Amino acid sequence: MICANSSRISRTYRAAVALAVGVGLTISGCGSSKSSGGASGTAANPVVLDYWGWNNGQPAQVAAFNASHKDVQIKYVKTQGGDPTLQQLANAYKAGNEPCLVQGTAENLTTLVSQGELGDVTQWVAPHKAEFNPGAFSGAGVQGKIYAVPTSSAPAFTIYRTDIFQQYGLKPPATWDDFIADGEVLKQHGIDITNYAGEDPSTLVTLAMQAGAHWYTIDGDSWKVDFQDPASLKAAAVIQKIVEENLDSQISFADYAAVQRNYDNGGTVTRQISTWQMAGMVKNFTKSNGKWALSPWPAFAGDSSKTPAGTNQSAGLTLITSQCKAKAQAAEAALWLSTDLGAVKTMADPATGAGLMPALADPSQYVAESISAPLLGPDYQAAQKVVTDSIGTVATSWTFGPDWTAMYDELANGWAKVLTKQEKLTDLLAHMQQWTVADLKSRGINVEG
Amino acid sequence: MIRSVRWKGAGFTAPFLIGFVFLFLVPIGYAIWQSLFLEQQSGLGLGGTTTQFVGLRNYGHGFTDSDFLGSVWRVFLFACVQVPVLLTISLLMALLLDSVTARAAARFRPILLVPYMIPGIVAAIVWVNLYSPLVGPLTPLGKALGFSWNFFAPAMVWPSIGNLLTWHGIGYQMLILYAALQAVPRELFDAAHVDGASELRLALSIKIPAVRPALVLTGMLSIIGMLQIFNEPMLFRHVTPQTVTAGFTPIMVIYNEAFNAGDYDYAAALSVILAAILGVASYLFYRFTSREIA
Repeated sequence: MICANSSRISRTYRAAVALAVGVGLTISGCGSSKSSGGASGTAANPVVLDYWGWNNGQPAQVAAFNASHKDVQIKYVKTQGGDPTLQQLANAYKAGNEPCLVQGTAENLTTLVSQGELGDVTQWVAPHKAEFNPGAFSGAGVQGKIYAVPTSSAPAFTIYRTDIFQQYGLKPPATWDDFIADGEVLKQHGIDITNYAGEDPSTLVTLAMQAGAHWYTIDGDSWKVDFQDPASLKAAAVIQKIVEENLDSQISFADYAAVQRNYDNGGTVTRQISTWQMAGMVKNFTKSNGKWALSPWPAFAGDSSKTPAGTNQSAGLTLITSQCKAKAQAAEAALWLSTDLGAVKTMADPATGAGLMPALADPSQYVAESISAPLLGPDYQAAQKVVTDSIGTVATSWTFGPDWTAMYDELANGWAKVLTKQEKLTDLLAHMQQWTVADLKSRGINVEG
Repeated sequence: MIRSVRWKGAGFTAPFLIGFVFLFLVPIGYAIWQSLFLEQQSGLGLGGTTTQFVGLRNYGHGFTDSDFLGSVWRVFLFACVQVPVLLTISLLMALLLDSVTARAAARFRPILLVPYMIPGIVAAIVWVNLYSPLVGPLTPLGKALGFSWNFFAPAMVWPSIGNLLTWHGIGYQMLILYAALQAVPRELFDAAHVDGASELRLALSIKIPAVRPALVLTGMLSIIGMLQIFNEPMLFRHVTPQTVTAGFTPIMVIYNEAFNAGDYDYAAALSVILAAILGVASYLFYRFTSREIA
């Protein structure tokens, strides 16, 4: 009796094991192939490069690349963008299977280099330096080595409501002092001149850049950190005045619908933007299309107009990773995506792409396409000159430090407190000075200041 | 033969043990191991990282980290208010359910459970939208009644989160207490009625003491849950980042350290410290409440 039982059990057991093995083999066969093909490929066995990105227009660019290249193919993976993609990249690095190409921005490049996640592609990209404008190219490397190919420039300017400015007899502000004066007039009528989102300290960063600050500099074998130089304090003074006099609305981008509705209703009347924000505005506006115009980014009194280098105002890059087994091909592919005229045109158009200004040395032919005619209405022609003029004024001497991502999060915390008037900007800058130096030291990085 | 039967019986626990070992013991062990190391860089920091053994340095840093300790204190204060409120309301609902007929109770029970059936994230998103001063209905409603309330203001954030947690958790707590109440022998109530006790006196002197073990259980579960809240503050942070900072609760501090600052070792040390704090708090709570039981 026991023998009969055990043979019945063992038959079931054998069937279960067979099933488990069969399922396991099937699942492992479904695993995605990573960048394969070794260092060189042929038409029959092409090198496949994984590309993580999130911009509208990239699938079309990749399709065009794959159609025109036989020995290299790109496999596009749409990711979420922003911090989650950085986290995914860090996880992939730890697991040893980074994609070859990743979309990124200039502000995170140094951090990624210091975490070992990016590959040195100077030998393939440096010869093409003249094809890009200096502002965009300066974000593609650090300390003389290049780790990425620029995809977009960040011309920056003000967009403002023509009808409301006309109603109250205001001219578009040429300096930050004018900006504050205009804001005071609008305040009396219950209108805010600008919006400071509580989680987004990029306003402070861009104004400090514009004023000529250098929060991080390389001094030999050590970093020099200075958040409290006169330029930073000058930028802080402007923002502090705006916050203190309540000239700003404080709607977070997390409530995206509310932000756009506020602009549409005329609750806030200016915005410091680049070209790509216009697509979102025109898509979400119902009342104010045609009533906006561009004007140059306000200058500090007495300074030449100098718009900031790219922050999340999209000095976009295509990063090449350190674990990529085909760096030469990856660099070539990234260069093609950034310089091939068809690919660039696709990306520059707000409808087919993301409305990003290309990183090319002379992007002026794309200006008309990258700005929105419905949004700007009668100002469309004049706006093109504002954009073209601003391309050459992008700052090139800003360096992002190796703990920029962590520093930026800490800055965002303090920025929120500044907006709710629990802290002054000067105190925040002092805190960031002390915090950043301590943070770099705890990572074992040489730092003075 | 008996021994083989015993092994076969124990074999039925194998699935649980395998899961427990791989999903709990191994990760906890790895976290403790990882917390003894630190990633170090050199020079300009552009040359990648090396992992160094640093012993208990991460723990020293954790115990002096004002952000982390502040967040622990913050959720502790919150739990001190939220847990009694939640338990009181759940107890009240359970007592009310117990005092009506079985048929009426059966009709109300599912309704009270509906909030609990909604996943936590979904509930938080719904309430965030209700609270929103620009797109939600509560603020205009308040204006119509003459109040101007802002649910995302720094002073109101905790009541807003507390309201959400109460709404979500009442059904579950109430069910546990109701089941405990049902276990009280009905003869006690008859005897009390004969002695002339009112319903209120009945509740205070007989029902509540009888469910004290269930109250202790739900209380302890609530405290452990409150000290670890993460979903709700994270969602609130998305819409009101100026009031809910990145390190608002201990788990958010740990999340930030691990995934934004990239410091997995320090985050592991903080997790161990938090687990230790929770263990001590639960132990103290249990000792304190069970000493009073005869």
